[in-house]
Amino acid sequence: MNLLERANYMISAMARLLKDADSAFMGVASFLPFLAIAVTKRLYNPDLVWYSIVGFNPNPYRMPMSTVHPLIAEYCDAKLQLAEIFDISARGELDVVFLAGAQIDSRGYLNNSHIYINGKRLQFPGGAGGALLHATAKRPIVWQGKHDPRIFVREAQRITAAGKPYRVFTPLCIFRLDRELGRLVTDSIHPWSSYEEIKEKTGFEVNDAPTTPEPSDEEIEIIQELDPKGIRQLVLQ
Amino acid sequence: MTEMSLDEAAEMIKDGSLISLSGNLLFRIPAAFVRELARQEKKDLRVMKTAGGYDVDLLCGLGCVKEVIAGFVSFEVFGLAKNFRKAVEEGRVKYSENTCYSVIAALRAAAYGIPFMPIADISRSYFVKERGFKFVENPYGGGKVLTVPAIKPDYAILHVQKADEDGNALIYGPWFEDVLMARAAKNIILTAEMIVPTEELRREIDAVWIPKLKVKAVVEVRNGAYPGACPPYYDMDFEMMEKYANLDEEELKSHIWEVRP
Repeated sequence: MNLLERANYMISAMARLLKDADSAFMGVASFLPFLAIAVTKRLYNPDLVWYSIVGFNPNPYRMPMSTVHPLIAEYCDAKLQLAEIFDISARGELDVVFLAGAQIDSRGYLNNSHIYINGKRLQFPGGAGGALLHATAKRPIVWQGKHDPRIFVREAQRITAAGKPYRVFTPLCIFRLDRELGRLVTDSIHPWSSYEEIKEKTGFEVNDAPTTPEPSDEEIEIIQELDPKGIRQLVLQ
Repeated sequence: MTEMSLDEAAEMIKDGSLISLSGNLLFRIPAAFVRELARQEKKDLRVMKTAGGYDVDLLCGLGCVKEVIAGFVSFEVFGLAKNFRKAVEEGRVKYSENTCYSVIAALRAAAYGIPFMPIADISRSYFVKERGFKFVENPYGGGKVLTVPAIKPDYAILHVQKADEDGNALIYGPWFEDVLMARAAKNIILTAEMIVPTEELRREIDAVWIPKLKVKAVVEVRNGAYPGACPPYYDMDFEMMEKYANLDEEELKSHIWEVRP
């Protein structure tokens, strides 16, 4: 299965999770969340409130090369300044937030700060708005375009953002947080991967799980319409 | 007269100043001004922004910066900010890591004229301790509240679409933290795509949220955000950003002389 088709699986699964969501926010470089929110709003949940950094309820006809592009604001219902996103979440009014993690640990905490390898510092960009959003949004959805044991670790060296993720999307599987165990468990495995592969490439204990359902033709059609050039596969490269 | 040339305006920034930069990532960044700062070989600058990109990276790469106060520094689709990373990894630049929310809180406290701002509890994030953010007892009951101290930039450097020669200015599209920065900072320097007559600016008064107060310099700089975007006039230069992201040290040094202004 090529990268575009794999991205479609992830987008479809994200979109279906948003069927009962009240609101969702995506930040920078969030191509999969962007398309997932757009699909959900068209097919499943037209009333979903879509917060972006540049405006309230965008109605994009295509996805630009940046998910904070002012172009997205062209067809918004209202203006929204970046600072307000954080206020909305701090007030407890944000349901879903999409967050990326350079490192994601078994508790669902994110490290976007830095790590030390043999005493040498490796600097990440920083967690942007993640610290506040992970801690205060109702259902954080975490995603990452790669899956290896350096990314999915038992305990992150630094905690940039702490919170309880609703789901964690990887190019191999979907994790969810088992609240009793206090750690991530496998919720579904993408059809091109396997329990064995996830076990090998994850730095914490994992379990077997059912296969991630395939995207529908309707979903793929919308994804293709908004992203005809396949920008979405960039995050999986 | 507040209107002047780019090099005159950049000369106002002394070594060691705390400056905050407009825009977000690659949108409406004061790129031309930042290149001029580098050409003038500024040292020990403290640079503040929620989410930096080309601007912060370039200053870090050319040895102009002592400290970066930010929540994020990267190029989004163009990858990681190599010069910023290297400078931090080698200890040449102190990354006072924040989250965008705490940078905003620090600016809000400064803008409101108060010493600190109470914020939502983000204390499980490691940088809260490193930055020294402290809890205080809520005097109205209900436990403890996390706080962020005010940070008052010496200069807010804003690139805007239009200004008049006195320094009144408008911003089209998202403000990001720019209006807040303008309120918080001691002084403001504006670069503008166009300097227009005051009467013309007044016709768009709904977009004019930067008054001339505190504006010490206004410079007309066409393409002042290049290679970043300045909607609605131009998008980012994808080719140049890809090239920039891969420049080596020597190429970076010549970049600021090749790309004018």
